[in-house]
Amino acid sequence: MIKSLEVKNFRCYKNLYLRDLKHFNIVVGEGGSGKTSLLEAIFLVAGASPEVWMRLRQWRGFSPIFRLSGTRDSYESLFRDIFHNFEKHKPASIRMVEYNDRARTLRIFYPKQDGYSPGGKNSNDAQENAYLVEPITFGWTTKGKEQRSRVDVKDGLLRFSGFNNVYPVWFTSPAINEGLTVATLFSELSLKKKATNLVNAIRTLYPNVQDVSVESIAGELALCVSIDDVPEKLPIGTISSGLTHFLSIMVAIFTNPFGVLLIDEFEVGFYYANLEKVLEVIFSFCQEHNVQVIASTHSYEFLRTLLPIMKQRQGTEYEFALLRTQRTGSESAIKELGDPSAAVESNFEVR
Amino acid sequence: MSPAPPPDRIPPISRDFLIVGEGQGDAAFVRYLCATRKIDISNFQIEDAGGTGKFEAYISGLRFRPKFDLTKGLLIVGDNDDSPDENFSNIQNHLKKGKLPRPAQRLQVAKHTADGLAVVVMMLPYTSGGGATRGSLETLLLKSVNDSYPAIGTCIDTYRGCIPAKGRTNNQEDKFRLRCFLTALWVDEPNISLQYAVSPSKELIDLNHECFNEVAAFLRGFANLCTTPARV
Repeated sequence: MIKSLEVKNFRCYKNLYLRDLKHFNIVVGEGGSGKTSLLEAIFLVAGASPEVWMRLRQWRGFSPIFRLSGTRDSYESLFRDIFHNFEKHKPASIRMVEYNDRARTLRIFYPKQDGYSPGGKNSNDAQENAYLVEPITFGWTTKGKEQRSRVDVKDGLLRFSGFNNVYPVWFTSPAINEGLTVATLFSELSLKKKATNLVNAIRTLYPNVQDVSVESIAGELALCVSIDDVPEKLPIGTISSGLTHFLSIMVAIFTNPFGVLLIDEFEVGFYYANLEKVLEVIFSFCQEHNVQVIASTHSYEFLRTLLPIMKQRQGTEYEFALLRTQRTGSESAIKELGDPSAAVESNFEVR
Repeated sequence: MSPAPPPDRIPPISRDFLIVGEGQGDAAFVRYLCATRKIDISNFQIEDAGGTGKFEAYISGLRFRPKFDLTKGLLIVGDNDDSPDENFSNIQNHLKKGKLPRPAQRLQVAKHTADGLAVVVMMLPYTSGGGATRGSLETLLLKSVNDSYPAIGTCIDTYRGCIPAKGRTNNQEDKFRLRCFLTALWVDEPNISLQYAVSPSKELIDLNHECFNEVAAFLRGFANLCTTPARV
Protein backbone atom coordinates (compact mmCIF):
# COMPACT_ATOMS: atom_id res chain seq x y z
CA MET A 1 0.00 0.00 0.00
CA ILE A 2 1.37 3.38 -0.99
CA LYS A 3 2.04 5.76 1.90
CA SER A 4 3.70 8.68 0.15
CA LEU A 5 4.31 9.91 -3.36
CA GLU A 6 6.78 12.42 -4.73
CA VAL A 7 6.45 13.68 -8.29
CA LYS A 8 8.88 16.05 -9.98
CA ASN A 9 8.75 17.60 -13.43
CA PHE A 10 5.97 15.28 -14.58
CA ARG A 11 3.04 16.65 -16.64
CA CYS A 12 1.42 19.49 -14.65
CA TYR A 13 3.41 18.71 -11.50
CA LYS A 14 6.63 20.61 -11.04
CA ASN A 15 7.05 19.41 -7.50
CA LEU A 16 4.46 17.39 -5.64
CA TYR A 17 4.69 15.56 -2.34
CA LEU A 18 1.82 13.56 -0.88
CA ARG A 19 2.84 12.39 2.53
CA ASP A 20 -0.14 10.52 3.89
CA LEU A 21 -2.16 8.47 1.45
CA LYS A 22 -4.85 6.38 3.08
CA HIS A 23 -6.43 3.08 2.18
CA PHE A 24 -9.16 4.86 0.21
CA ASN A 25 -8.32 8.16 -1.47
CA ILE A 26 -10.79 10.31 -3.36
CA VAL A 27 -9.34 12.89 -5.73
CA VAL A 28 -11.42 15.96 -6.59
CA GLY A 29 -10.68 19.17 -8.42
CA GLU A 30 -11.56 21.19 -11.49
CA GLY A 31 -11.11 19.74 -14.96
CA GLY A 32 -7.48 20.06 -16.07
CA SER A 33 -6.19 20.45 -12.51
CA GLY A 34 -4.17 17.22 -12.52
CA LYS A 35 -6.43 14.42 -11.25
CA THR A 36 -5.73 12.05 -14.13
CA SER A 37 -2.05 13.04 -14.18
CA LEU A 38 -1.76 11.95 -10.55
CA LEU A 39 -3.20 8.54 -11.41
CA GLU A 40 -0.91 8.33 -14.43
CA ALA A 41 2.14 9.08 -12.29
CA ILE A 42 1.28 6.16 -10.01
CA PHE A 43 0.57 3.89 -12.97
CA LEU A 44 3.93 4.77 -14.54
CA VAL A 45 6.05 4.27 -11.44
CA ALA A 46 4.37 0.90 -10.94
CA GLY A 47 5.07 -0.12 -14.53
CA ALA A 48 7.59 -2.39 -16.13
CA SER A 49 8.56 -0.71 -19.36
CA PRO A 50 8.07 2.50 -21.34
CA GLU A 51 5.24 0.64 -23.07
CA VAL A 52 3.12 1.84 -20.12
CA TRP A 53 3.64 5.40 -21.33
CA MET A 54 2.48 4.43 -24.81
CA ARG A 55 -0.71 3.03 -23.24
CA LEU A 56 -1.29 6.26 -21.33
CA ARG A 57 -0.95 8.18 -24.60
CA GLN A 58 -3.67 6.05 -26.14
CA TRP A 59 -5.94 6.57 -23.15
CA ARG A 60 -5.39 10.30 -23.58
CA GLY A 61 -6.75 10.01 -27.09
CA PHE A 62 -3.66 9.44 -29.24
CA SER A 63 -3.82 6.76 -31.90
CA PRO A 64 -1.88 3.53 -31.28
CA ILE A 65 -0.55 3.92 -34.80
CA PHE A 66 1.88 6.75 -35.39
CA ARG A 67 4.44 7.65 -38.01
CA LEU A 68 7.84 9.05 -37.17
CA SER A 69 9.57 11.18 -39.76
CA GLY A 70 13.01 10.14 -38.55
CA THR A 71 13.84 13.49 -37.03
CA ARG A 72 14.68 14.08 -33.41
CA ASP A 73 11.63 16.33 -33.02
CA SER A 74 9.37 13.63 -34.39
CA TYR A 75 10.77 11.03 -31.96
CA GLU A 76 10.65 13.37 -28.98
CA SER A 77 7.09 14.41 -29.77
CA LEU A 78 6.02 11.03 -28.40
CA PHE A 79 7.36 11.97 -24.99
CA ARG A 80 7.29 15.76 -24.83
CA ASP A 81 4.22 15.94 -22.56
CA ILE A 82 5.85 13.74 -19.94
CA PHE A 83 7.85 16.75 -18.78
CA HIS A 84 6.41 19.69 -16.88
CA ASN A 85 6.30 22.67 -19.24
CA PHE A 86 8.02 20.39 -21.79
CA GLU A 87 11.31 20.82 -19.93
CA LYS A 88 12.92 17.66 -21.29
CA HIS A 89 16.41 18.60 -20.08
CA LYS A 90 15.35 17.97 -16.49
CA PRO A 91 14.44 14.39 -15.59
CA ALA A 92 10.88 13.59 -14.61
CA SER A 93 10.80 11.52 -11.47
CA ILE A 94 8.13 9.69 -9.53
CA ARG A 95 8.86 8.07 -6.19
CA MET A 96 6.43 6.10 -4.10
CA VAL A 97 7.03 4.72 -0.63
CA GLU A 98 4.93 1.92 0.79
CA TYR A 99 3.71 1.65 4.36
CA ASN A 100 6.49 -0.88 4.97
CA ASP A 101 9.03 1.77 3.82
CA ARG A 102 9.86 0.02 0.56
CA ALA A 103 10.45 2.60 -2.12
CA ARG A 104 10.09 2.51 -5.88
CA THR A 105 11.32 5.30 -8.12
CA LEU A 106 11.00 6.03 -11.80
CA ARG A 107 13.25 8.51 -13.54
CA ILE A 108 12.58 9.48 -17.14
CA PHE A 109 15.35 11.32 -18.93
CA TYR A 110 17.37 11.80 -22.10
CA PRO A 111 20.95 10.66 -21.47
CA LYS A 112 23.09 12.93 -23.62
CA GLN A 113 25.84 10.45 -24.38
CA ASP A 114 23.65 7.93 -26.19
CA GLY A 115 22.70 9.98 -29.22
CA TYR A 116 22.45 8.22 -32.51
CA SER A 117 20.66 8.69 -35.76
CA PRO A 118 17.68 6.37 -36.27
CA GLY A 119 19.11 5.70 -39.73
CA GLY A 120 22.20 4.30 -38.06
CA LYS A 121 24.54 7.08 -39.09
CA ASN A 122 26.25 8.67 -36.10
CA SER A 123 27.17 12.25 -36.58
CA ASN A 124 28.13 15.31 -34.64
CA ASP A 125 27.57 17.53 -37.59
CA ALA A 126 25.31 20.40 -36.61
CA GLN A 127 23.39 20.04 -39.85
CA GLU A 128 22.45 16.50 -38.95
CA ASN A 129 21.55 17.19 -35.32
CA ALA A 130 17.93 17.28 -36.32
CA TYR A 131 18.28 13.57 -36.95
CA LEU A 132 20.35 12.81 -33.88
CA VAL A 133 18.04 11.00 -31.52
CA GLU A 134 18.84 10.63 -27.86
CA PRO A 135 16.78 7.60 -26.83
CA ILE A 136 14.63 8.41 -23.85
CA THR A 137 15.37 6.25 -20.84
CA PHE A 138 13.03 5.04 -18.13
CA GLY A 139 14.89 3.96 -15.02
CA TRP A 140 13.00 2.11 -12.27
CA THR A 141 14.77 1.82 -8.94
CA THR A 142 13.69 -0.83 -6.47
CA LYS A 143 15.71 -2.15 -3.54
CA GLY A 144 18.40 0.41 -4.38
CA LYS A 145 19.00 -0.99 -7.86
CA GLU A 146 18.08 0.88 -11.04
CA GLN A 147 16.90 -1.02 -14.08
CA ARG A 148 16.85 1.03 -17.24
CA SER A 149 14.68 0.67 -20.27
CA ARG A 150 15.34 2.64 -23.45
CA VAL A 151 12.99 3.45 -26.23
CA ASP A 152 14.92 2.84 -29.41
CA VAL A 153 13.87 3.24 -33.00
CA LYS A 154 15.10 0.27 -35.01
CA ASP A 155 14.00 -0.67 -38.49
CA GLY A 156 11.09 1.72 -38.29
CA LEU A 157 9.78 0.24 -35.04
CA LEU A 158 9.89 1.40 -31.44
CA ARG A 159 11.72 -1.08 -29.25
CA PHE A 160 11.70 -1.17 -25.48
CA SER A 161 14.63 -2.76 -23.70
CA GLY A 162 15.12 -4.05 -20.15
CA PHE A 163 11.82 -4.92 -18.57
CA ASN A 164 11.48 -4.27 -14.86
CA ASN A 165 9.37 -5.94 -12.18
CA VAL A 166 5.88 -4.48 -11.75
CA TYR A 167 4.01 -3.20 -8.74
CA PRO A 168 0.39 -4.43 -8.73
CA VAL A 169 -1.58 -1.43 -9.98
CA TRP A 170 -4.71 -1.43 -12.11
CA PHE A 171 -5.90 1.69 -13.92
CA THR A 172 -9.50 1.97 -15.05
CA SER A 173 -11.13 4.91 -16.76
CA PRO A 174 -14.08 5.54 -19.09
CA ALA A 175 -11.46 6.27 -21.75
CA ILE A 176 -9.95 2.81 -21.50
CA ASN A 177 -11.33 -0.09 -23.48
CA GLU A 178 -10.01 -3.00 -21.50
CA GLY A 179 -12.48 -5.68 -22.60
CA LEU A 180 -9.86 -8.17 -23.73
CA THR A 181 -7.70 -7.71 -20.61
CA VAL A 182 -10.70 -8.13 -18.33
CA ALA A 183 -11.80 -11.23 -20.24
CA THR A 184 -8.31 -12.71 -20.01
CA LEU A 185 -8.00 -12.04 -16.30
CA PHE A 186 -11.49 -13.38 -15.65
CA SER A 187 -10.54 -16.53 -17.56
CA GLU A 188 -7.44 -16.92 -15.34
CA LEU A 189 -9.61 -16.60 -12.23
CA SER A 190 -12.12 -19.04 -13.65
CA LEU A 191 -9.44 -21.62 -14.46
CA LYS A 192 -8.31 -21.45 -10.85
CA LYS A 193 -11.95 -21.80 -9.73
CA LYS A 194 -11.75 -18.42 -8.08
CA ALA A 195 -14.39 -16.65 -10.12
CA THR A 196 -17.40 -17.86 -8.12
CA ASN A 197 -17.18 -15.12 -5.48
CA LEU A 198 -16.85 -12.53 -8.18
CA VAL A 199 -19.94 -13.80 -10.01
CA ASN A 200 -21.86 -13.86 -6.73
CA ALA A 201 -20.85 -10.25 -6.08
CA ILE A 202 -22.14 -9.31 -9.52
CA ARG A 203 -25.41 -11.08 -8.83
CA THR A 204 -25.98 -9.12 -5.63
CA LEU A 205 -26.16 -6.01 -7.79
CA TYR A 206 -27.53 -7.44 -10.99
CA PRO A 207 -29.79 -10.31 -9.83
CA ASN A 208 -30.91 -11.14 -13.36
CA VAL A 209 -27.34 -12.21 -14.23
CA GLN A 210 -27.17 -16.01 -14.08
CA ASP A 211 -23.55 -16.52 -14.98
CA VAL A 212 -20.47 -14.86 -16.45
CA SER A 213 -18.12 -16.60 -18.87
CA VAL A 214 -15.43 -15.90 -21.44
CA GLU A 215 -16.48 -16.73 -24.98
CA SER A 216 -14.91 -16.42 -28.40
CA ILE A 217 -16.81 -14.06 -30.67
CA ALA A 218 -15.46 -13.99 -34.22
CA GLY A 219 -12.16 -15.20 -32.78
CA GLU A 220 -11.99 -12.49 -30.13
CA LEU A 221 -12.27 -13.27 -26.44
CA ALA A 222 -15.16 -11.48 -24.80
CA LEU A 223 -16.77 -11.56 -21.40
CA CYS A 224 -20.38 -12.68 -21.76
CA VAL A 225 -23.28 -12.98 -19.36
CA SER A 226 -26.30 -15.23 -19.17
CA ILE A 227 -29.36 -13.22 -18.28
CA ASP A 228 -32.80 -14.37 -17.18
CA ASP A 229 -35.27 -14.68 -20.07
CA VAL A 230 -32.63 -14.01 -22.76
CA PRO A 231 -32.12 -17.14 -24.90
CA GLU A 232 -28.39 -16.62 -25.64
CA LYS A 233 -25.40 -15.18 -23.81
CA LEU A 234 -24.70 -11.51 -24.38
CA PRO A 235 -21.33 -9.76 -24.57
CA ILE A 236 -21.13 -7.68 -21.43
CA GLY A 237 -20.36 -4.47 -23.31
CA THR A 238 -23.72 -4.64 -25.04
CA ILE A 239 -25.71 -4.74 -21.81
CA SER A 240 -24.63 -1.88 -19.60
CA SER A 241 -21.61 0.36 -19.29
CA GLY A 242 -22.20 0.31 -15.53
CA LEU A 243 -21.99 -3.48 -15.44
CA THR A 244 -18.85 -3.38 -17.62
CA HIS A 245 -17.27 -0.77 -15.34
CA PHE A 246 -18.25 -2.72 -12.23
CA LEU A 247 -16.90 -5.98 -13.60
CA SER A 248 -13.66 -4.36 -14.62
CA ILE A 249 -13.19 -2.98 -11.10
CA MET A 250 -14.12 -6.28 -9.48
CA VAL A 251 -11.72 -8.26 -11.71
CA ALA A 252 -9.01 -5.75 -10.80
CA ILE A 253 -9.69 -6.28 -7.08
CA PHE A 254 -9.71 -10.07 -7.33
CA THR A 255 -6.53 -10.23 -9.42
CA ASN A 256 -4.54 -7.53 -7.56
CA PRO A 257 -4.66 -8.39 -3.86
CA PHE A 258 -2.42 -6.02 -1.87
CA GLY A 259 -2.32 -3.82 -4.95
CA VAL A 260 -3.58 -0.40 -5.92
CA LEU A 261 -6.70 0.37 -7.89
CA LEU A 262 -6.66 3.65 -9.81
CA ILE A 263 -10.12 4.70 -10.97
CA ASP A 264 -10.62 7.79 -13.09
CA GLU A 265 -14.15 9.21 -12.87
CA PHE A 266 -15.43 6.48 -10.58
CA GLU A 267 -19.11 7.32 -10.97
CA VAL A 268 -19.31 7.07 -14.74
CA GLY A 269 -21.75 4.44 -15.97
CA PHE A 270 -23.46 3.70 -12.66
CA TYR A 271 -27.20 4.28 -12.35
CA TYR A 272 -27.81 6.59 -9.38
CA ALA A 273 -30.20 4.24 -7.59
CA ASN A 274 -27.60 1.44 -7.70
CA LEU A 275 -24.70 3.59 -6.63
CA GLU A 276 -24.96 2.93 -2.90
CA LYS A 277 -24.92 -0.83 -3.37
CA VAL A 278 -22.18 -0.64 -6.01
CA LEU A 279 -19.94 1.34 -3.68
CA GLU A 280 -20.68 -0.90 -0.72
CA VAL A 281 -19.70 -3.99 -2.69
CA ILE A 282 -16.57 -2.44 -4.23
CA PHE A 283 -15.20 -1.01 -1.00
CA SER A 284 -15.99 -4.16 0.98
CA PHE A 285 -14.10 -6.30 -1.52
CA CYS A 286 -11.21 -3.81 -1.62
CA GLN A 287 -11.01 -4.13 2.13
CA GLU A 288 -11.20 -7.93 2.00
CA HIS A 289 -8.45 -8.14 -0.64
CA ASN A 290 -6.37 -5.31 0.86
CA VAL A 291 -6.61 -3.21 -2.25
CA GLN A 292 -5.82 0.48 -1.92
CA VAL A 293 -8.04 2.79 -3.96
CA ILE A 294 -7.11 6.12 -5.48
CA ALA A 295 -10.14 7.37 -7.40
CA SER A 296 -11.09 10.64 -9.02
CA THR A 297 -14.62 11.98 -9.18
CA HIS A 298 -16.55 15.01 -10.35
CA SER A 299 -19.75 13.82 -8.71
CA TYR A 300 -21.27 15.28 -5.57
CA GLU A 301 -23.80 12.46 -5.59
CA PHE A 302 -20.94 9.97 -5.50
CA LEU A 303 -19.43 11.65 -2.43
CA ARG A 304 -22.81 11.87 -0.76
CA THR A 305 -23.47 8.18 -1.41
CA LEU A 306 -20.04 7.34 -0.06
CA LEU A 307 -20.77 9.08 3.26
CA PRO A 308 -22.09 6.09 5.25
CA ILE A 309 -19.23 3.94 3.90
CA MET A 310 -16.70 6.55 5.02
CA LYS A 311 -18.30 6.93 8.44
CA GLN A 312 -18.33 3.19 9.02
CA ARG A 313 -14.57 3.08 8.51
CA GLN A 314 -13.62 6.05 10.68
CA GLY A 315 -10.96 5.13 13.20
CA THR A 316 -10.07 1.92 11.36
CA GLU A 317 -7.12 1.21 9.08
CA TYR A 318 -9.49 1.54 6.11
CA GLU A 319 -9.87 5.29 6.34
CA PHE A 320 -10.77 7.67 3.56
CA ALA A 321 -8.94 10.82 2.55
CA LEU A 322 -9.88 13.62 0.21
CA LEU A 323 -7.23 15.00 -2.11
CA ARG A 324 -7.99 18.21 -3.98
CA THR A 325 -6.02 19.14 -7.08
CA GLN A 326 -5.62 22.83 -7.85
CA ARG A 327 -3.96 24.41 -10.83
CA THR A 328 -2.31 27.81 -10.87
CA GLY A 329 -0.87 28.73 -14.25
CA SER A 330 1.00 25.74 -15.60
CA GLU A 331 1.52 24.17 -12.21
CA SER A 332 -0.73 21.88 -10.20
CA ALA A 333 -0.71 21.18 -6.51
CA ILE A 334 -2.65 18.78 -4.31
CA LYS A 335 -4.05 19.37 -0.87
CA GLU A 336 -4.31 16.36 1.42
CA LEU A 337 -7.45 17.05 3.40
CA GLY A 338 -8.10 13.88 5.36
CA ASP A 339 -11.48 12.24 5.99
CA PRO A 340 -14.14 14.42 4.36
CA SER A 341 -17.16 12.87 6.11
CA ALA A 342 -17.98 15.95 8.20
CA ALA A 343 -17.84 18.22 5.16
CA VAL A 344 -19.99 15.93 3.03
CA GLU A 345 -22.42 15.50 5.92
CA SER A 346 -22.70 19.29 6.13
CA ASN A 347 -23.53 19.44 2.42
CA PHE A 348 -20.47 21.49 1.62
CA GLU A 349 -19.34 21.74 -1.93
CA VAL A 350 -15.97 20.02 -1.57
CA ARG A 351 -15.11 19.20 -5.15
CA MET B 1 -36.76 2.02 -3.67
CA SER B 2 -34.72 4.92 -5.01
CA PRO B 3 -32.55 6.78 -2.53
CA ALA B 4 -33.72 10.22 -1.43
CA PRO B 5 -32.21 13.04 -3.45
CA PRO B 6 -29.26 14.70 -1.74
CA PRO B 7 -30.09 17.88 0.18
CA ASP B 8 -29.14 21.26 -1.22
CA ARG B 9 -25.46 21.95 -1.16
CA ILE B 10 -24.03 24.87 0.75
CA PRO B 11 -22.45 27.05 -1.92
CA PRO B 12 -18.69 27.50 -2.24
CA ILE B 13 -16.99 30.26 -0.27
CA SER B 14 -16.84 33.45 -2.26
CA ARG B 15 -16.18 36.16 0.36
CA ASP B 16 -13.27 37.06 2.64
CA PHE B 17 -15.23 36.68 5.87
CA LEU B 18 -17.51 33.86 6.93
CA ILE B 19 -20.12 34.21 9.66
CA VAL B 20 -21.72 30.99 10.82
CA GLY B 21 -24.84 30.91 12.95
CA GLU B 22 -25.60 27.79 14.96
CA GLY B 23 -29.12 27.72 13.57
CA GLN B 24 -31.08 29.44 10.83
CA GLY B 25 -32.40 31.99 13.32
CA ASP B 26 -28.89 33.05 14.38
CA ALA B 27 -27.76 33.49 10.77
CA ALA B 28 -30.90 35.41 9.80
CA PHE B 29 -30.54 37.63 12.87
CA VAL B 30 -26.97 38.59 11.89
CA ARG B 31 -28.01 39.18 8.29
CA TYR B 32 -31.00 41.41 9.16
CA LEU B 33 -29.19 43.22 11.97
CA CYS B 34 -26.41 44.18 9.57
CA ALA B 35 -28.95 45.34 7.00
CA THR B 36 -30.88 47.40 9.59
CA ARG B 37 -27.75 48.96 11.06
CA LYS B 38 -26.23 49.54 7.60
CA ILE B 39 -23.20 47.40 8.34
CA ASP B 40 -21.38 46.61 5.12
CA ILE B 41 -21.60 42.86 4.61
CA SER B 42 -20.61 42.81 0.95
CA ASN B 43 -17.50 40.86 1.94
CA PHE B 44 -19.30 38.60 4.43
CA GLN B 45 -20.77 35.20 3.68
CA ILE B 46 -23.41 34.39 6.28
CA GLU B 47 -24.49 30.78 6.75
CA ASP B 48 -26.08 28.56 9.33
CA ALA B 49 -24.84 25.19 10.53
CA GLY B 50 -28.33 23.66 10.60
CA GLY B 51 -28.74 23.49 14.38
CA THR B 52 -26.89 22.30 17.45
CA GLY B 53 -26.74 18.69 16.29
CA LYS B 54 -24.99 19.65 13.06
CA PHE B 55 -22.61 22.24 14.50
CA GLU B 56 -19.75 19.79 15.01
CA ALA B 57 -19.83 18.37 11.48
CA TYR B 58 -20.17 21.86 10.03
CA ILE B 59 -17.20 23.35 11.87
CA SER B 60 -14.95 20.33 11.49
CA GLY B 61 -15.79 20.10 7.78
CA LEU B 62 -15.07 23.74 6.97
CA ARG B 63 -11.47 23.28 5.87
CA PHE B 64 -12.58 20.89 3.10
CA ARG B 65 -14.35 23.68 1.25
CA PRO B 66 -12.59 24.98 -1.83
CA LYS B 67 -11.05 28.42 -1.20
CA PHE B 68 -11.56 28.18 2.56
CA ASP B 69 -7.81 28.70 2.88
CA LEU B 70 -8.34 32.20 1.43
CA THR B 71 -10.88 33.12 4.11
CA LYS B 72 -9.58 35.90 6.37
CA GLY B 73 -12.05 35.71 9.21
CA LEU B 74 -14.49 33.22 10.67
CA LEU B 75 -17.09 34.28 13.22
CA ILE B 76 -19.03 31.52 14.91
CA VAL B 77 -22.28 32.57 16.56
CA GLY B 78 -23.55 30.10 19.13
CA ASP B 79 -26.04 30.08 21.97
CA ASN B 80 -25.12 29.87 25.65
CA ASP B 81 -28.40 28.15 26.55
CA ASP B 82 -28.32 26.93 30.14
CA SER B 83 -24.67 25.86 30.07
CA PRO B 84 -22.55 28.74 28.71
CA ASP B 85 -19.16 27.24 29.55
CA GLU B 86 -20.02 23.81 28.21
CA ASN B 87 -21.43 25.22 24.98
CA PHE B 88 -18.37 27.41 24.41
CA SER B 89 -16.09 24.50 25.22
CA ASN B 90 -17.99 22.35 22.69
CA ILE B 91 -17.33 24.92 19.98
CA GLN B 92 -13.65 24.98 20.95
CA ASN B 93 -13.57 21.20 20.54
CA HIS B 94 -15.28 21.38 17.16
CA LEU B 95 -12.64 23.91 16.06
CA LYS B 96 -9.88 21.62 17.29
CA LYS B 97 -11.37 18.69 15.41
CA GLY B 98 -11.57 20.86 12.30
CA LYS B 99 -7.88 21.82 12.72
CA LEU B 100 -8.88 25.48 12.99
CA PRO B 101 -7.52 28.15 15.36
CA ARG B 102 -9.19 27.89 18.75
CA PRO B 103 -9.85 31.05 20.79
CA ALA B 104 -9.35 30.66 24.53
CA GLN B 105 -12.17 33.09 25.32
CA ARG B 106 -15.36 34.38 23.77
CA LEU B 107 -14.83 37.33 21.41
CA GLN B 108 -11.08 36.69 21.37
CA VAL B 109 -9.22 36.33 18.06
CA ALA B 110 -7.25 33.13 17.46
CA LYS B 111 -4.89 32.52 14.54
CA HIS B 112 -2.47 29.77 13.56
CA THR B 113 -0.21 32.21 11.74
CA ALA B 114 0.00 36.00 11.90
CA ASP B 115 -1.58 36.45 8.46
CA GLY B 116 -3.74 33.34 8.61
CA LEU B 117 -7.41 32.74 9.30
CA ALA B 118 -8.80 34.65 12.31
CA VAL B 119 -11.39 32.76 14.31
CA VAL B 120 -13.74 34.42 16.80
CA VAL B 121 -16.62 32.88 18.76
CA MET B 122 -19.58 35.02 19.80
CA MET B 123 -22.04 33.47 22.23
CA LEU B 124 -25.58 34.79 22.55
CA PRO B 125 -26.98 36.54 24.45
CA TYR B 126 -24.07 38.89 23.88
CA THR B 127 -22.19 39.78 27.03
CA SER B 128 -19.73 42.67 27.05
CA GLY B 129 -16.09 41.76 27.35
CA GLY B 130 -16.65 38.14 26.45
CA GLY B 131 -18.42 37.14 29.66
CA ALA B 132 -21.16 34.53 29.80
CA THR B 133 -24.86 34.76 30.60
CA ARG B 134 -27.42 31.99 30.41
CA GLY B 135 -29.75 32.34 27.48
CA SER B 136 -29.82 32.41 23.73
CA LEU B 137 -30.74 34.55 20.74
CA GLU B 138 -34.33 34.40 22.00
CA THR B 139 -33.26 36.09 25.27
CA LEU B 140 -31.95 39.03 23.28
CA LEU B 141 -34.95 39.22 20.97
CA LEU B 142 -37.33 39.07 23.91
CA LYS B 143 -35.96 42.32 25.32
CA SER B 144 -36.81 44.11 22.09
CA VAL B 145 -40.26 42.62 21.58
CA ASN B 146 -41.17 43.20 25.25
CA ASP B 147 -40.46 46.90 24.88
CA SER B 148 -42.29 47.14 21.56
CA TYR B 149 -45.44 45.36 22.74
CA PRO B 150 -45.78 45.86 26.53
CA ALA B 151 -49.53 45.19 26.56
CA ILE B 152 -49.07 41.74 25.04
CA GLY B 153 -46.27 41.17 27.54
CA THR B 154 -48.74 41.73 30.37
CA CYS B 155 -51.17 39.21 28.86
CA ILE B 156 -48.36 36.67 28.50
CA ASP B 157 -47.52 37.20 32.20
CA THR B 158 -51.13 36.35 33.06
CA TYR B 159 -51.14 33.31 30.77
CA ARG B 160 -47.79 32.25 32.24
CA GLY B 161 -49.43 32.19 35.67
CA CYS B 162 -52.14 29.79 34.46
CA ILE B 163 -49.95 27.04 33.03
CA PRO B 164 -47.63 24.49 34.62
CA ALA B 165 -44.00 25.52 34.30
CA LYS B 166 -42.25 23.23 36.70
CA GLY B 167 -38.69 22.44 35.68
CA ARG B 168 -38.53 25.07 32.97
CA THR B 169 -35.13 26.78 32.89
CA ASN B 170 -34.66 30.53 32.40
CA ASN B 171 -33.60 29.90 28.82
CA GLN B 172 -36.70 27.77 28.17
CA GLU B 173 -38.75 30.48 29.82
CA ASP B 174 -37.35 33.06 27.39
CA LYS B 175 -38.13 30.81 24.44
CA PHE B 176 -41.65 30.23 25.73
CA ARG B 177 -42.32 33.97 26.14
CA LEU B 178 -40.91 34.85 22.71
CA ARG B 179 -42.98 32.12 21.08
CA CYS B 180 -46.10 33.56 22.74
CA PHE B 181 -45.30 37.02 21.38
CA LEU B 182 -44.66 35.76 17.86
CA THR B 183 -47.76 33.59 17.81
CA ALA B 184 -49.88 36.46 19.08
CA LEU B 185 -48.49 38.99 16.65
CA TRP B 186 -48.13 37.05 13.40
CA VAL B 187 -51.62 36.04 12.43
CA ASP B 188 -50.81 34.47 9.06
CA GLU B 189 -48.51 31.84 10.54
CA PRO B 190 -48.78 31.44 14.32
CA ASN B 191 -45.89 28.98 14.15
CA ILE B 192 -43.60 31.46 12.40
CA SER B 193 -39.96 30.43 12.74
CA LEU B 194 -37.25 32.66 14.10
CA GLN B 195 -35.46 33.04 10.79
CA TYR B 196 -38.55 34.76 9.33
CA ALA B 197 -39.62 36.51 12.52
CA VAL B 198 -36.41 38.55 12.66
CA SER B 199 -37.01 39.98 9.20
CA PRO B 200 -37.62 43.76 9.47
CA SER B 201 -40.43 43.40 6.93
CA LYS B 202 -42.46 41.49 9.52
CA GLU B 203 -42.13 44.36 12.02
CA LEU B 204 -42.06 41.94 14.93
CA ILE B 205 -38.56 42.59 16.26
CA ASP B 206 -37.11 46.08 16.37
CA LEU B 207 -33.51 45.52 15.38
CA ASN B 208 -32.71 49.14 16.24
CA HIS B 209 -33.42 48.39 19.90
CA GLU B 210 -30.52 49.25 22.17
CA CYS B 211 -30.17 45.65 23.32
CA PHE B 212 -28.60 44.88 19.95
CA ASN B 213 -26.13 47.78 20.03
CA GLU B 214 -23.17 45.80 21.28
CA VAL B 215 -23.69 42.96 18.82
CA ALA B 216 -23.98 45.47 15.99
CA ALA B 217 -20.83 47.28 17.10
CA PHE B 218 -18.95 43.99 17.21
CA LEU B 219 -20.10 42.99 13.73
CA ARG B 220 -19.16 46.43 12.39
CA GLY B 221 -15.62 46.00 13.65
CA PHE B 222 -15.26 42.31 12.91
CA ALA B 223 -13.30 42.63 9.65
CA ASN B 224 -10.82 45.03 11.26
CA LEU B 225 -10.52 42.81 14.30
CA CYS B 226 -9.50 39.91 12.05
CA THR B 227 -6.71 41.84 10.40
CA THR B 228 -5.19 43.34 13.55
CA PRO B 229 -2.27 41.47 15.14
CA ALA B 230 -3.42 38.79 17.50
CA ARG B 231 -1.94 36.10 19.66
CA VAL B 232 -0.86 33.23 17.42
